[in-house]
Amino acid sequence: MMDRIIELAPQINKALGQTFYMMFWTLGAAGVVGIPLGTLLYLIRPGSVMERRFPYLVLDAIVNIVRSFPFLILMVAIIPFTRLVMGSSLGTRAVIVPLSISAIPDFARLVEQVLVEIDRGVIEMAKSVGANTRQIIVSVLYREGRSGIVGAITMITVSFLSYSTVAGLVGGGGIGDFAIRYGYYRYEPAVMAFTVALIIILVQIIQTLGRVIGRALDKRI
Amino acid sequence: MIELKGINKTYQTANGSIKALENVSVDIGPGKAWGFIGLSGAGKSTLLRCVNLLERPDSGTVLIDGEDLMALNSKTLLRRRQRIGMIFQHFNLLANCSVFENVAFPLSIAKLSKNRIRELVGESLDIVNLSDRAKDYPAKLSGGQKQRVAIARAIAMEPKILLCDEPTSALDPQTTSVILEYLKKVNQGLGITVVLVTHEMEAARKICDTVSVLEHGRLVETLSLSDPAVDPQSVLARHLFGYGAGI
Repeated sequence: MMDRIIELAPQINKALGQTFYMMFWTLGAAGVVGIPLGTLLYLIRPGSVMERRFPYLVLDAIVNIVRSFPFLILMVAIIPFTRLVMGSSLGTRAVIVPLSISAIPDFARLVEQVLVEIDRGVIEMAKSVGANTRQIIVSVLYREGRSGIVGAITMITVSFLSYSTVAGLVGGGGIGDFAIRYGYYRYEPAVMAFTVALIIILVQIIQTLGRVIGRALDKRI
Repeated sequence: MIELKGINKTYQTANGSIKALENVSVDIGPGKAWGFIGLSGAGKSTLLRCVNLLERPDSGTVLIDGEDLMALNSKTLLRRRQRIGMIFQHFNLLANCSVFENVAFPLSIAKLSKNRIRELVGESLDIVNLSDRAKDYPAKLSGGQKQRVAIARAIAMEPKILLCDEPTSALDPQTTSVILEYLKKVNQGLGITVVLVTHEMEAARKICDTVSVLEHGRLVETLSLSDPAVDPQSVLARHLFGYGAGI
C-alpha cells in the first residue's frame, strides 16, 4: 500500500494544493464579505442597535434562501454567473465562485449569532459613554465576540473542506476529487482510506487550532 | 443641573401600551445626591435613562446645565454623554478587557491621548482602591470589586453627573455598604452630582439628601432626608420608609 501512496505522492500533493487554494479564497471571501454582512444583520435586527425592520426582512430572507440550496444544486444553478466572473465554469479557480457564494451567508449567519450572544448590558454601557456605532462594533462587538468568531471560522473551515470535495465534480480538483478518482473509479480502497485519513487529520488540525486560539482570546472564565 | 420637565414615555407591547412615565418633572441641583425609589416597574430606570437619553422621552424636556439635550444633533449628544457617568446593576464590564482597559474604555472612546488615559485611569483606580488589580480580568473579581471598577470607569472622564441604576441590587449587604461608601466619596469628595435609582430604601438613606418616590410612572412625592422630621405622606413612601403596616 505504501508503495502505491508514494507513487501517487505528486498527485496527492497537487490535490492538497488545490484544496488549500479553494479554501483560502473561499474563507477569504467569507471573511471579507461575511463579517460585515453578519454585523449588519445583527445591527438592523429587531430590537438591536439600529433596528431597520424591512431591510432586515429582505436580507434575512436572502441569506436563508442561499443557505437552503444544497451545494451541488447551487453550483450548477449559478454556472452562467460563474462563467461571467471567471470566464469559465470549470476548474479550481471557477469553483471558488459557488463555494464563496455558499460560504458568505453561512458565515454571516454564524457571526450574527455570535454577536446576538453578547450581553446587551455592555452595549448599553458603550452607548452611555458616548460611543458611536462604529466604536460599538470595533471596541465592543468584535472584542467581546472574538472567541466566538474564531469558533465560527473553525466551523466554516471544516464545512467547506467537505464542500470543496464536491467541487471535484466540475473539475475543481482537490483532495476529495482525488479520493473519488483513485479510490472509487479505479477501485483502490487503500488509496481511498489514506485520503480519508488525510482529511480527518486536516480537520483535527483545524479544530485544535481553532480551540487553542479561541481559548487564548477568551478572558470570560 | 439636571432639569426634567413633563417627561412622558409610553411603551408599545404585544398587550397594548404601557405608560412608563407620566408627566414627571424634577430639578436636581449641582452636588446633590438624589434618589429615585419605588417598586420594580415604577419607571425609575426609564427615568434615569432619560437623563442621558439612552431612552428618548415621547415628550418633555431634558436640560443639563440649561442645555436641551433633546435638541442636540446625534454627534453632540454623544459628546455630552461622555460627561455623564453611569453605573449599572450588573456592572457591564467588558469581559475580554482587563481592569485597566475597562476603566480606559470611555477615555479611548473620547480619543484621549495614551498618556492622558494612563494618568486618568490611575487616578480613578486609586479612588476605588483597585490600583493593584489593573492587569486582572473581570472574571477574577468579586461582585463588589466589579462594581468598583465600574465606578472608576464612570468617573474617569471627570463627569459632573453620575447616574446609578440599581448599583447594589446584585450585591450582598456588606458589599452594598462598601459600594455606597464609594458613591458617597464620589458625591462629597469629588463633588459629582449623584442620581441613584434603587428599590432599597436603606441604600437611598445612606447616601441621598433627597429622595423622590415613583409609583406607576408618576412622581408621588419628593422628600428631603436631611430633614430629621421627614414625614412621608403617600402609602408607598411610608411603606418604603418602614412606617405603618405596609401595602
